[in-house]
Amino acid sequence: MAYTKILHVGIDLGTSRSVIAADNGVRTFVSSYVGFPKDAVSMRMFGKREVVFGDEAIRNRLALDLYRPFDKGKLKYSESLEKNPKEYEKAKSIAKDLLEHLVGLVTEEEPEDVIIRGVIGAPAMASIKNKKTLLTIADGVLNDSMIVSEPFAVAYGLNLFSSALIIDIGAGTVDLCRMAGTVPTEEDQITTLKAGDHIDQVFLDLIRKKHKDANFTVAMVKRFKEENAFVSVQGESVFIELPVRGKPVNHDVTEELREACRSIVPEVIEGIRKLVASFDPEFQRGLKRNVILAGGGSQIIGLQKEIENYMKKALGYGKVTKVEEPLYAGANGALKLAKDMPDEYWDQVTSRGK
Amino acid sequence: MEKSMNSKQNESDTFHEAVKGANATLDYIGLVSWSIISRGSTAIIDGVQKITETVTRNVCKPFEDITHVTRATFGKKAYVDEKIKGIEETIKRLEERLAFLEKHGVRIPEKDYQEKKKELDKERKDLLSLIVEENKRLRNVLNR
Repeated sequence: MAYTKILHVGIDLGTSRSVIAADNGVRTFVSSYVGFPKDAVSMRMFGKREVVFGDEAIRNRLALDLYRPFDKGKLKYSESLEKNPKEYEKAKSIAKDLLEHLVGLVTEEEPEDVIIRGVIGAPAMASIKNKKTLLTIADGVLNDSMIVSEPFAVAYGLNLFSSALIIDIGAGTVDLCRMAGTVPTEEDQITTLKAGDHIDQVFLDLIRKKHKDANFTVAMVKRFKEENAFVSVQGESVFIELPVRGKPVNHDVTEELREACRSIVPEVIEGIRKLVASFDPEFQRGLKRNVILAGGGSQIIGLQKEIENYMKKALGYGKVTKVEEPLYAGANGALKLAKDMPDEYWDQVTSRGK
Repeated sequence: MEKSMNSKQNESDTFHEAVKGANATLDYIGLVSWSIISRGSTAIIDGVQKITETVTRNVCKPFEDITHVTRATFGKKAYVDEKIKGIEETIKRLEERLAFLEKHGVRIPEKDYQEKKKELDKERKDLLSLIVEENKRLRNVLNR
């Protein structure tokens, strides 16, 4: 046996951020952006690197061909690969670069022959096609890999195997999953596409409508939203500084931001209602008592209360709790799963030597 | 004769007794007077001292305060500023370190994470086997 050392990793390949946690204690995240220098001059700027990742790529986007390989929780073009085979292959190759970079960040000080076993979180309702694509990408980077539903990974990390409803609010999707003591099936999960990116788009449209002279990009609006997102009625006014004919001007966007953030709530509530209503009546109360918010979207101020209020109206009762580390909840759970998985189980799905 | 001599002797004794009494009375009066004077003066001195101390303290206080403020403004302030700056820099360093640890975690010594896997209960093993089965099915589709 040439291999001796094993490193387990939990990975959350997100539309906006990709997160990794390893059992050597290292964990980190990168924005899911990959950039390629446009020409020889820009390549010189990046120290002759052929590819740039994360925030560095976003900051230097003018000198790069910038890509975001995931959209709505899926690899771009994975659902239409027959129509766009070239684009699909490119997206796959970019996603692989991103995964390689991410894994490289936690294996920097590890020996070259280390076995890397990874569990990757996929959107709750990812299609077989999409899961297959994820496995193909992982096969070249990880020695052994498995795919699990992202909200299930969150639940596993929190040891919540029954009577819990996980809501993972990401940039591309909101994944809802009820835990009933076993691996969730299709009936236990709902994915909605109105998530963080949808909030950005609504917010952008509303600002554009109100402040016609202001000049801004989605990236600026997204950054602002991530720092100030809220849905509650009370609170201070929020102002965004946007250039008007080159001069920075403060704009009051309190109502616009609130409206944009609230735009995802009805679908989340409808998802909760469906999952609760179709659950065994004897256990519905337990489910309503244990709604867990995870993902970047769980940081929206007042969202927890807003969902509780809606649940009270629609379902008579609801108790919502936020996870402690929303960004890492998925990756931590996936890592826990990878570590718990017995070796003989890993051997059944190994990709080594293939 | 003897009677006359006895009588003179008696008179002389009476005179001496009277002088002694007068002396004692004077001594007593003198002591009483001294006591009154000394006690009175002590009381006066104490009172005066108390009054003087209070007045002096109250008169001096504003000047003391001015001195303190002046010292704090022109002397101690620089020292305090330097200390605050030092503390701020330490807090900034700690915050940066904390942010780094929150983002990147704490590297665990190899021997700690390479330890043998813990034994799982049957329920957990069953749950994990379901995940493996699902992944095997996926891989079969992939390899087809």
